[in-house]
Amino acid sequence: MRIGLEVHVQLKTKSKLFCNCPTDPAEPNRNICPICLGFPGIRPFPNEEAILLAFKIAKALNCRILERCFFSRKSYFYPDMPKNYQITQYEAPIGVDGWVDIGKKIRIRRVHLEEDPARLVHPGGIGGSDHVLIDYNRAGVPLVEIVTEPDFEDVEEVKRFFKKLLSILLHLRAFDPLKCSIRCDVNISLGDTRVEVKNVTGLKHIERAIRYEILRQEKLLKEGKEVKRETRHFDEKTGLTTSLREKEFEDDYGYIFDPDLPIIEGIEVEIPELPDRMVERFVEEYGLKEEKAKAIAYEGPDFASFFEEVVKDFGKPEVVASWMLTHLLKCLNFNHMRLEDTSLTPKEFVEFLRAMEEERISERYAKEMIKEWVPSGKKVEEFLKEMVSEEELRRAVEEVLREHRKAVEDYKKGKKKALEFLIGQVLRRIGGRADVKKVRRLLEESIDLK
Amino acid sequence: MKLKRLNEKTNAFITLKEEVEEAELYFSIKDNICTKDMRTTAGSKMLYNYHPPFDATVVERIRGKGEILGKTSMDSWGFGTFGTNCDFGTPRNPWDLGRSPGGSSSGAAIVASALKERNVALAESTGGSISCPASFCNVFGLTPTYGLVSRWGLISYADSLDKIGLMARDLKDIALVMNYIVGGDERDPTSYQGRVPDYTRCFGEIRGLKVGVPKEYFEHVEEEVKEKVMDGISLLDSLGAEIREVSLKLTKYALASYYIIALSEASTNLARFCGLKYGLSAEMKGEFNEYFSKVRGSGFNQESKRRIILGTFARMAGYRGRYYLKALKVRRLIINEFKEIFSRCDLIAAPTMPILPPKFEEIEELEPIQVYAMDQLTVGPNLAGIPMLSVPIGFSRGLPVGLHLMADHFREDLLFRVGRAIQEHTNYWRKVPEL
Amino acid sequence: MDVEKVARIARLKLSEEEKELFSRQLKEVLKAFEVLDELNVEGVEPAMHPYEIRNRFRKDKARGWREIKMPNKEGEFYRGPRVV
Repeated sequence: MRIGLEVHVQLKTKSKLFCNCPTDPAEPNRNICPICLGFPGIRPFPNEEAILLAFKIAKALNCRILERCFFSRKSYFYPDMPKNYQITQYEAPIGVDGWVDIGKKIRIRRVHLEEDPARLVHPGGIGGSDHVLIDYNRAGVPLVEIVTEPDFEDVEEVKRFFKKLLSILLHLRAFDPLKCSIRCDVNISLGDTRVEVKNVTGLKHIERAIRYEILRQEKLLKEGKEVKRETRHFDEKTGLTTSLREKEFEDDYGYIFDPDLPIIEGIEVEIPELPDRMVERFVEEYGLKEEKAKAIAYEGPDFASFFEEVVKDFGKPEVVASWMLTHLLKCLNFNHMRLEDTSLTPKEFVEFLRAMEEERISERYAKEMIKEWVPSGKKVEEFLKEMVSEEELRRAVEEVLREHRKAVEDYKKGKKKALEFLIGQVLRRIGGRADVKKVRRLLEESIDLK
Repeated sequence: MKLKRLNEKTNAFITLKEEVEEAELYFSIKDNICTKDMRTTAGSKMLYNYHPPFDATVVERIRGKGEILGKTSMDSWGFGTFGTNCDFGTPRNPWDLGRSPGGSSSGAAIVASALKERNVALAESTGGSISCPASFCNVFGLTPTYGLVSRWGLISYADSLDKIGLMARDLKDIALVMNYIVGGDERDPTSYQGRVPDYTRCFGEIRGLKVGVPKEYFEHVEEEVKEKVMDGISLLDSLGAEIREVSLKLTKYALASYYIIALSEASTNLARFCGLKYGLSAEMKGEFNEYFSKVRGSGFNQESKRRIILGTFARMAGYRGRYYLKALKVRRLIINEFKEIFSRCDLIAAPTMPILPPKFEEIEELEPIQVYAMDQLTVGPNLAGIPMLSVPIGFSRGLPVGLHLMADHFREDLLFRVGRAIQEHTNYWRKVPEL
Repeated sequence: MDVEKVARIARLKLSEEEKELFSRQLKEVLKAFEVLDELNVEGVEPAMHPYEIRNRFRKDKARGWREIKMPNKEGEFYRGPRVV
């Protein structure tokens, strides 16, 4: 079995590839202008950041970078194509002959830059309406296309590939998982014929599409039937791939160099530390287990550097890793946020961990506190200062001991319940703002001393 | 100012402004240059009611510098040498209304020559669309170096070949307006970012300038045209220029190279016109291929369809290497050949057109390939993107003849210098046709 | 040249007369283009522009455009012809 992928990654840029329209999610047809609409007389102007990101991706995927590259016009007619041609790169992409290591090498045939078409909405489903609705917000958004050789042998390898690819894209700051999408054309051949499943969006659906298509082809071959060489469409609702109708009007892409655009030459880019190297380093420097190191590194560069900053100050990498990977990450995911979207700083996180270490807050309190703190935008002091100070606590303990001598006596006589009563009184006096364990200990110490 | 009368007789305008204010300088604008306040059709039924949402950069730069009269007639999309492909009435040569004014910037040349008041026409050239009508109508026609004038707002024919330029009776007026319109534009990545001279100061001695006369440019040229052009070259000689015979061996390949490249690019540029977003549309029933084909079938005239088909073919899989890619390589050779000449000469001089302005009946008899062949003297320099100036150099049988001067990239200064010298020593440019 | 096929690719509806006429005319044009076969262009770089235009980029800044008028607006979307 051979599987090959053509992956389309939407890049994280402020503006579109050839115009200044914003790329942020918006109501339909808000982010449009004459350029991305393809009005007569417009001139496309390439986005420097998109180009640099594309070069970084090619470099990070170990491609040979072409000295000179340029844009091409790929002609075809469709209602989602404002100019009825797409600006892409044909003869001269950005990089070729790269690879990604997923335990085995997946070869990368090419990496290039192109513009996204508009989005079509089919009221009543694809076969069910007499018109389409067009949203041009997406038209002109920069895409990097990554084409692999058919080196995948099963769906698990594809999953590992995407996990690795995603982490690389995050470290290059080329991709925003909350804003950008990944689309894929999948080529699967069990036998001799190659079937293409086009335009599957999102990793979940890519996996489903591959699984279904493998089953479908296996079944056909088992029954002695032929697998037709064709292009299929993946239906997200049913999880099936279906045959696309034979086309009556063909398209010949008729590639030409795009004379509106400059040649790109001699671009040099620097790439930051990539996840694989980072994982190695974390295992060495911090003694983390590879799994934990991977989990941190793959979460992205901001998450990883946050971890390192916290450890620099607080030490105890295992503890930091634990807290970040379980409770912090859980919170972030629940709130659909990335760490960089919050106002959390490593310094504050250190204070948080210290407060726990010094028993100013209990672990239970900490788990609740983090749920509120992360999305709130407030500083950690606001939550911690609510906790009682050492001095205030001792005073409260002394006052309670003075006022409730009978209970003290009862406790000394062995009545455990009396201590609980005293703890309750202390907590009431300070409005519950202390770690119960600590109150208990202080009471015990103070009573013992008397 | 008898604009309406001029227009009735010659069809110079597609859109004439209602109220025209008096001014020292008037402008007319070829109708493939976008104007926010006037419809812009590119000469085609496809855009018969199109109102651009922005001004072309050149329009922005001339607003306030003079009064804009209207949008001038043109072969639709720039597809033509005789003005006979305009969907809004055929423009006529003011020197003889039964003859062609040249194309595709037909109306521009008519207004520049026939409007008595001082005016400059904004025009455009892809393969010779400024030089040809300038030559046929007895005006100066300047095609600047590719990229010198921003193409933001120019409705594309072929993006590696399109250039906005100027026509006028007086070369000094062209120099003045050049100063307004040239220079980098942050909206056009192909626009020239370097420094530009003050074109009004480009005049003076032409003694010692080396003028190359390519022998290939005199083959297949009518005798009457040759005669007047040779007179012009003799004038340069008498003014002290050094005339030398040169050879442009690749001349016979320029036509094929030009048409293949231009039409390949044009066929992609016109794909956007399909009844959505702007332009002609129809009742939206049927599947998209049917709808697009129907709208495009009715919005494009015959010449447009012919060229789109040719251009689509030349870049199709299986033919692309033999036609499109080959033509681009031949273009490289042609550019190199010009550069080589300019390493030895300051200018090249030749006839602008091989013929005098033809009668409309004669044009009707021509096959497309014969019409295309009329561009043979202008396609070479247009492919190379070098600047060129057509200069009024005489009349034959009452019909204007143009002398074509060409210079190296960004050497418009030389064209102005020699053009001004000719202007000073001749009177052809002063003549205005009686209508 | 198969004019009908190319016209379909270019989404141009042609009449029968046009198909015939163009077949003949374009055959002549292509014959004239054959002159290029005489030239050997081995090792020659294609010329995309009259001179090199290189690395012209724009800074990544987001800026909105004022409202654009287009026909066939339906709610927030624009209506287009069906695709099947």
